[in-house]
Amino acid sequence: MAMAPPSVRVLARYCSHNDTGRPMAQRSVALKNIADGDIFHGRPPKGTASFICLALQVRERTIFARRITTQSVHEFDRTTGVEVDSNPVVINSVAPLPADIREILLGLDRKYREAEYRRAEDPDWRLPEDEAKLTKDEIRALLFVGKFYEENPI
Amino acid sequence: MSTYPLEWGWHTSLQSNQSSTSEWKPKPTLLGGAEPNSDNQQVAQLKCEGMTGSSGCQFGGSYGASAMYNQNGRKQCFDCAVKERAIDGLPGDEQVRILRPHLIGGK
Repeated sequence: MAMAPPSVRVLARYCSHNDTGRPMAQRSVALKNIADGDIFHGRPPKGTASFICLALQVRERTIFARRITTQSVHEFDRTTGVEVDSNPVVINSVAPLPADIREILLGLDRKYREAEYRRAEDPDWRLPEDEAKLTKDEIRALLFVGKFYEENPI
Repeated sequence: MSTYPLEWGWHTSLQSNQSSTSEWKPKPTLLGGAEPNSDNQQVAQLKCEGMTGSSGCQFGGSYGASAMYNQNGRKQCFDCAVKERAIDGLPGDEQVRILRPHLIGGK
């Protein structure tokens, strides 16, 4: 019997831990509904890292996205929601965020992206101390999304 | 491999730091920056780079601790990440939750 491709095996393993009781078709539909500019959430199968991602470009088969907090870019299979990578992140929630939380996260994305541009020009450049500090709203948003995405899996 | 120019011709090992770290496959950013690889073994080898300003573990304390977080392109240990974000007044569980989106890969 032929072995399933890695992305499917990862997804199967992931789903066995994430007992949402929802059919796979529903997951598929949710993934297909991701559009450019959407924010979604992923996790690696092992570990507790949280990937809050902004969809940059949705193609026929893949979703190209940026992790807001680190600005790293990731490409996900649009059918399975599994990243095309050796240690893949798996999309686990696409629930739309409240408008205020979304705006705060987009603000964080802007801040980190500007920092990324500055570092590209000058590798020794560092985000000034006062800008690196999180505001009360940013703290509120980050605490909210952790809980929100856990409670709203696909 | 680049070698320090003054060492040229000396009996320096040509193997230097070529072991597992040479096979790093960083997660790229759009501008060519990189997030450290998420391979657990390699992540365990990452050292904290401290924080900007005049504090942080590069000036003592737990300097050399394993870095777990990627903060603004800098690999940081938990203590430095908490200080740089100015969340040291919050309960420990909230600090962990706030920093989770900065965790390097699958840690």
